[in-house]
Amino acid sequence: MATYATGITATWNSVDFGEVTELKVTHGGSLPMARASTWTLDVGTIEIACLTTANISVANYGKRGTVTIAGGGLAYSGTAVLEKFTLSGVVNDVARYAVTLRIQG
Amino acid sequence: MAFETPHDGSGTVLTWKSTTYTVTNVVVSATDPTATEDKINVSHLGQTAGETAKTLDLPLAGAASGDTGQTVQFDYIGKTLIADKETGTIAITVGGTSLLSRAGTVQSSTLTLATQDAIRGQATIRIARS
Repeated sequence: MATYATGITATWNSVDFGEVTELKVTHGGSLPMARASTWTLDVGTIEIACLTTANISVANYGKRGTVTIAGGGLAYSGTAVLEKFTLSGVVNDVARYAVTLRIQG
Repeated sequence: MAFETPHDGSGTVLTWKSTTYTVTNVVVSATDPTATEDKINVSHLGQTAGETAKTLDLPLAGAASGDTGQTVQFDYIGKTLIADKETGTIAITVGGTSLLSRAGTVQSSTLTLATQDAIRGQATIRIARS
């Protein structure tokens, strides 16, 4: 049975992202390498689109923090660095924000 | 204006700029030109199932288009070409009872000449709001 994507919270560096409209966790970006079966150059990314600015500023760029996603059938916890953020405005629309967090192994 | 129900539309007389047309079909339309369904969807994943989707009004108001939202469209038999942008009074009576009499402007018109048929025209008049 499908699960509604509702009641979801996304937190990074102890602050909730506000009014999250889209969320995507991609764990794994390249194959495991060397002797360790799980070590990899690219652990993956978390992309979050939201309507309020919590945690999205130049001051947070490059910061490392704990990321927690919960609710609506989604559960994820790990450590990630704020790699990229986007602020956008379009005529006759609300301001929109997006971040990409790089997961750290 | 009161009409017997049902009324079949016979005995309908349409006059545009003091000329009575031999009409075969009349459509009177009324819509609210200021009504809008446009909203910004600001629903988010933090909402619970069953909750009302969140929306916001658009921040900018629509520009005035001059649209009154009310038109009379009619089909007629005859070789009169109704020019666009003409203004005048359109009056419709049904069985001797006035349905409407309003100032209007021609929004569009067509005149069709075809083999084995009468010359037929169609016009859409944008009428002033009552």
